[in-house]
Amino acid sequence: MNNVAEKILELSIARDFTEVPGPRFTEEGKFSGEEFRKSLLRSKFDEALSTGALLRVDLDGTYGYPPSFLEEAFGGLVRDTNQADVLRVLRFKSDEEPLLMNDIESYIRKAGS
Amino acid sequence: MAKAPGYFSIVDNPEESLPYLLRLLKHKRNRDLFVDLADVRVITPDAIAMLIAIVRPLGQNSRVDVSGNYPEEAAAFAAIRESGFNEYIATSVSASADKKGAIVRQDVSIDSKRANGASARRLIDFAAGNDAEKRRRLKPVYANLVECMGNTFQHAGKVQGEKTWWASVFRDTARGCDCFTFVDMGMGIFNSVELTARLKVFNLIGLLRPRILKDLLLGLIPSSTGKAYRGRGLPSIYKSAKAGKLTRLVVVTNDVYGDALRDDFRTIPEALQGVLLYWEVPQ
Repeated sequence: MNNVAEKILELSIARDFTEVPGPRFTEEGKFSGEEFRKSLLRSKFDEALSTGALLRVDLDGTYGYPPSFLEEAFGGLVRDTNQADVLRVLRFKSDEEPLLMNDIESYIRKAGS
Repeated sequence: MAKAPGYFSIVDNPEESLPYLLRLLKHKRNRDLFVDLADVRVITPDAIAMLIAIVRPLGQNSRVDVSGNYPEEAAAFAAIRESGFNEYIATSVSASADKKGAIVRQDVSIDSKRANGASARRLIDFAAGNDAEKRRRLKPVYANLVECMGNTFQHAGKVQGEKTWWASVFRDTARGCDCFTFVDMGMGIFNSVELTARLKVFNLIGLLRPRILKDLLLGLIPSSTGKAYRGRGLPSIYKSAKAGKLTRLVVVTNDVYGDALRDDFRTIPEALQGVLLYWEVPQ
């Protein structure tokens, strides 16, 4: 059996984007889910997809996540690409709010249904 | 001008408190306004926030000469003095050194009428102080505040971004909770253009407004945008409350009052053109 370590790309929202996530759309305010997806998440996702890597998104370190931000970021990624790739490539880390990962998975699944 | 009610609280005494605030709101331009709080024995943070949301624009935008007095009752006097009220309304009483409240508003000079996580951060930092664990516990509150700001942008006015919001926190050490208030003086949920069409349908099947507000909180009424993935604001706040992260959640909009965790949904005699959300978090 091959034991090849999976390549993992890292993306920390607090470090790479903002500590104060905003609303759903760019027109609604700064640091929106749409802005995050378009300026950062999509390019990292495409990089992971093209290199066969996983993309681990670290959710810790922010002040919190409006549900609309998360839905637009990750549900929006499904609407932009496809659900199977998103489920295969994305991984999440949230020590501070573990239940967020369930919410995000729900957004991803509903966006693809 | 009439005196403010003795128990000045929208969340606890909407029947007396809202009519007083609405009379202030209807005050004519270019006439002096005296805000008489002398007989107030109890004032809660939601009433302070809405008082500022109404009085400040009158003084700034409508050229009304606003004056007033403080409650004679010491506890009510202190509640106002410690709330951050003085940052927005000039008074002869200096701000308390023992500040228990912080108030933020949409600052149009920074970011015109849009959602602003930095303002929500200011309230969270005030409530949490240097306590990192408490800051972590307040993450759902931060999320609620920004979600409310986004709703104000999307739904409060006839056009997007027309209406502004106010938000506050008050550390109630006597009751051991932090009280958060969010106010927008827009149209209110039941007058929003999209929901009005939807309401016509629900009215046909006898679904009354208190029940509709409850169903909105429960997430049983689809988003007015027609997109299933939208409309997460009120349901997510209610979810926080049901998960025990909030110990009280009150929504007042138009002629409907809802105290969600007490399952008290009812109509009120005078309608608030806007939305007030109030929630408490254990300290």
